[in-house]
Amino acid sequence: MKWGVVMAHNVYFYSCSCNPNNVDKSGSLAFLGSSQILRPTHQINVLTPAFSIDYNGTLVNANYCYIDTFGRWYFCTVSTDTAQRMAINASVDVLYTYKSAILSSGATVIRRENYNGSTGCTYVPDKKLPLDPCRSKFDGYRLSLIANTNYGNYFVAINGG
Amino acid sequence: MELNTEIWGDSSHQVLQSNTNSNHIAVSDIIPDIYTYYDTYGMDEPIDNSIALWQIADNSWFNKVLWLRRDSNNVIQKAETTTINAKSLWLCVPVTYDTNHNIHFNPSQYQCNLWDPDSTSTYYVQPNTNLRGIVTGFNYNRLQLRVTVRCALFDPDTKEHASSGSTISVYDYFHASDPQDRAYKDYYALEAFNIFVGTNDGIDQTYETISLNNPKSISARGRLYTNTMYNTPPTTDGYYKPEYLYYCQNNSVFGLSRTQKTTIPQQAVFGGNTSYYIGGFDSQYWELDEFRVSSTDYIATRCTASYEEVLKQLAYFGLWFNETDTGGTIRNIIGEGCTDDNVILPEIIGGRTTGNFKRGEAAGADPQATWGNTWRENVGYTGDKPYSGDSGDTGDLSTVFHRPVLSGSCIYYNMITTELKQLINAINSGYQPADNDQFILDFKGVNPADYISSIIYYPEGFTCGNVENQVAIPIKIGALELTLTSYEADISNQNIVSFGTLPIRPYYHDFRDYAPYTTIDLYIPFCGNVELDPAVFMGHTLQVYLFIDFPTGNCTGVVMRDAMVYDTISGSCGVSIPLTAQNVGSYQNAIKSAEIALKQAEIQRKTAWLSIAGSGLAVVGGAVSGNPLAVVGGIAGMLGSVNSLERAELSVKAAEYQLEHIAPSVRSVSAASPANALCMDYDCHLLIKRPVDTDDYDSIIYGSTVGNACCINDYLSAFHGLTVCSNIYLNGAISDYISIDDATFGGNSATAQEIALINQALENGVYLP
Repeated sequence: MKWGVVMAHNVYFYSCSCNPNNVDKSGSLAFLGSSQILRPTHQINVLTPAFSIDYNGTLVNANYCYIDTFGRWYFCTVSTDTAQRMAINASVDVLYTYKSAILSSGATVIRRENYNGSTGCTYVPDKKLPLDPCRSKFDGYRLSLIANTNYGNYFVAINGG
Repeated sequence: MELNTEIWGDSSHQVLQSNTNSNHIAVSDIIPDIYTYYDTYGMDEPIDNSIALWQIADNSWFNKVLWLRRDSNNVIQKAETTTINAKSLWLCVPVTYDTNHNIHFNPSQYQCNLWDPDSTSTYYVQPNTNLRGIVTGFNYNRLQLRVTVRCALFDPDTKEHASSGSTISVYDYFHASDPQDRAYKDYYALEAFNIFVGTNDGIDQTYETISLNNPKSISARGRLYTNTMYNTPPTTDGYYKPEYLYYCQNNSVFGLSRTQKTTIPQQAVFGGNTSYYIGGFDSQYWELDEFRVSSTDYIATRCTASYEEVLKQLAYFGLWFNETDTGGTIRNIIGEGCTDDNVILPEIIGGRTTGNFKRGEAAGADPQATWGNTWRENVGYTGDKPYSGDSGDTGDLSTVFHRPVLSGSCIYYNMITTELKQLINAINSGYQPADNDQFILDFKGVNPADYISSIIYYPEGFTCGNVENQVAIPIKIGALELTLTSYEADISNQNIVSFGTLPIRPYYHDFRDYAPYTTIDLYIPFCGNVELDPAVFMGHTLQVYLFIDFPTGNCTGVVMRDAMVYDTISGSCGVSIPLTAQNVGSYQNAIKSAEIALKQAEIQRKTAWLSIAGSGLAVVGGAVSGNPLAVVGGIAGMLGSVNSLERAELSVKAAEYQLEHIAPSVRSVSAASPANALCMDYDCHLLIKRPVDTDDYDSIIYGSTVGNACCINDYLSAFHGLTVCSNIYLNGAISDYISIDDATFGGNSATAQEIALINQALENGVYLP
C-alpha cells in the first residue's frame, strides 16, 4: 500500500429478512446496492466497523452488508448525516460468514428441530415439553382368564387311601 | 384420535384397537392376483407403528379432497372446498381367513372370521358383518384383522395392474347421517380409494421418473360408488351396484359426512372438459383429472407438488417407502427393498401420522423398523436391529414352568356342591347312636372330621375340575371307604392359570413412554396390583399367570416379560371353608358325659336309699332307748334322706332324658371368609397412564422454537432448523480460512472473539439450513 493511497473498501448492502440466528441467509437477502467506504478518519474494527458512505437512497433500508476487504457479513444500521453521507454501524454475523465451517463442525446437540429428517420428541427426557399437569391419557386392557376346566368349585383334601 | 361418528357401529379406532390390540396394520405377504395384494395384519408385536397405517391425517391433502356435486341438469360440478379433521379409515370390513390363521379382508365374503390366537378352537365366525351394528360384537382381545392393500397402478382402462406404480385401496363402510336413511337402508357401500405416486400426467405413473429435480404428483382415484347406499345386499362378486349417488354437501371427504341422494349420473360433464380444477389453483387441493361412469367408475384426481412434499404426503399415510441412493427415486411405497441407506419411515404419534418422516439410518434405528419378525422380513427391510440384542444381553432367561404334585397321604377331590353335601350327610347320618359302636370301632374314637384336611372353594375357572377321561372314585375317610364317589382333582395339569399375553406398545415412541411420565399398573385377580416398570415392558409382551396351591388356597401371580418371569405377587384365590359346627366327636363326648351323669345320678340315688335305711334304724333304736331327742333326730334325718332320694331320682331321670335326647351332631359348613375377593373381576386389568400434551401444544412450533431434547453427536450439517449445541468442536479450518459463499470475496481468519461468538450462538441455538 502506498502512502497516502486509501484502499477501497467495497460494501455490498442487502435487506435481510430472516432471523438473525439463521446460519444460512442466502435465501433471505435482497441486494440493494453497493458503495465504498469513504476515507476513514479512524481505525475500523473488523468485527464492529463504523464508517461512512455517500448518500444513496436505496440503501436506507439496508440492514445487512458485506465488506469485501474483511470478507465478512455484517448486520448493519444505517443513519444519515449531513453532507450527503450515510453513517453505517455494523457488527459481524459470524453465522453466515462461517456457515460452511460451522456446518462441517461437530457438536453435541442437545436440542434439535430436525436431524436427518427426524423430528419430534426423542428418548431424551424433555423437561421443557408442555405436558398437561392435570390430565392423563388412560389406556385400559383386559387380559382375560383362560379358564381351567370347571367341574366343581370345592377342593376337598381327605386323608385316606 | 378423532372418532368418526358418522360411521355406523363402533368407532374405527375402537374396532381396530379394542378388538385387535393393534393400532396399525402391517404388510405380511403378497397374494398374487390380477392385482398385487399385500395382505396386512394387525400388529401383534411390541411396536406400535407398522408400515401400512392408512389414515387421513391432519394436514394431509386428503383432508382437502373436494368432492363433486350434481346440479339440476345432472352435471357434475365441483363441491365446496372443505377440510376435515383427521380420520382413520380403519373400520370393520368383511374379512376372511387364510391358512396362516390370519384374518384378511375379502369383499366377496360377507362374514368376519376371527381367530383367537390363544385358542385352539376353530375360527369364530361373525356372519353378516357387513350389516350395520354387528361390528360391535367382537369381544376378543387379540383378534387380528387383515385388510387387503392393493398395490398396483389402478387404471380401469388398460393399466389395471401396471407394475409401474402402487395403488393402495382401503375399503370402508359408511352411511349417511340422515336418520331416515339409517332407518330404511341396511346396506352401505364400501369405500374404495386409491392412491399412487407418479409423474405429472397423473395417469400413467412410473416411479422411475420421479427425482428430486422434477415436479412430482400424487394421484388418487376415488371410486364413484363410495357414496352409494343400497336397499339390497351386495352382489356375490363383492361389489354393490350403484343405485344412487350420494354427493357430499359440505364438510365431507370420502362421503364420510352428510350426503344427499341423487340418481347415479349417466355421464360426467365438466364444462366440456375432462380436466377440471375442482380444488382451485392452489396446489394443496386436488385437481380433477378424469371422471368416468362405466363398469369401473372412478374419479381421478391429482395434485402436483415438490418431491419433498410428495414424501410428506406419503408419510401421512404411514407407509414405509424408500428412495434410491442416486437421487430420491421412490421405489416402492410399501417398504420393499428398504435398507438403512434408503428407508424412509413415517412418524406416527399417538396413532396418527404427522407427515414427518425419518430417513436413512435415523429411520433404521427407529423402533418401528428394528423389530425382527416375519413382516419385517417380508417387506425386505435389511437394516440393523439394534434392539434385538435385548435378550442377548441378559442371556436366555426364558422360564420353564414345572408342575410338581405333592399329595402326601391325602386324596384330593374336586366336588360339586351336591357331592360335598352328600359327604357331610354321610358322616352325620351314618353314625346315629344305634350305630355308634360301629362308628367308634371305625375311628377308634378319632373324630372323622379330622381326616378332612381342607375344604376350599375356588371360583369358576380357577378350579381343577378336569374330569374328562376320569372315572369317579369312592371317597375314602381314613380306612373307611364310603359308597359316595367323586372325581380326583387334576392338580398336576391345572395348577397354572393363564391370562394370556398382551404386547405393551409404546405410544409416543419417545421419552414420554417411560417413567416417570408413563406408568403401568397391572391388576391380577386375587393378588392385587403390580406396578410395572415401562422400561422393562415397553416394547415387550406381557404374560400373566396364576399359580394356585389348591390345598391351601394360596396363589402366586406371575408377571412375565416375554418368556421371562419378572415379578411375582402373592394372593389367595381359594376360600377356606371352616368346619365350625358340632362334629361327631363332640357328639360322642356328649353321650359319654350323659352316661357319666346317669351313673353319678344312680350312685346318688343308691346313697340316698342307704341314707334312708340308716335313719330308720336310728328311729327304732331311739324308740327302744326312749330317747325322744334321738327319735326326733332320726325322723328329721329320714325326711332329709327322702328328699335326697327324690333329688337323686330326678337326677337319674334327667340324665336318662339327656342321654335319650342328645341331638346327633350336624356336619355343616360355616360362612366362607374372606370371600370379598370373589366379588372382584377374574380377569387381569392393565392400566397405562400416559401424559398428554397441553391443549395448545404444537409439535411443529415447539420443535422450531424450543427444540426437542436430544443428545446427538454429529456434524451440524446433519441438522436442520433450530439446533442447540452443547460441546462444539469447530472445524479446524475455521481459524485459518473463512469460507465465503462467493469465492471472489476471498477469505480471512476468524478471530478468537469471533470463535467465541460462534460458540455462544450455537449454545444459544441457531437455525441451520
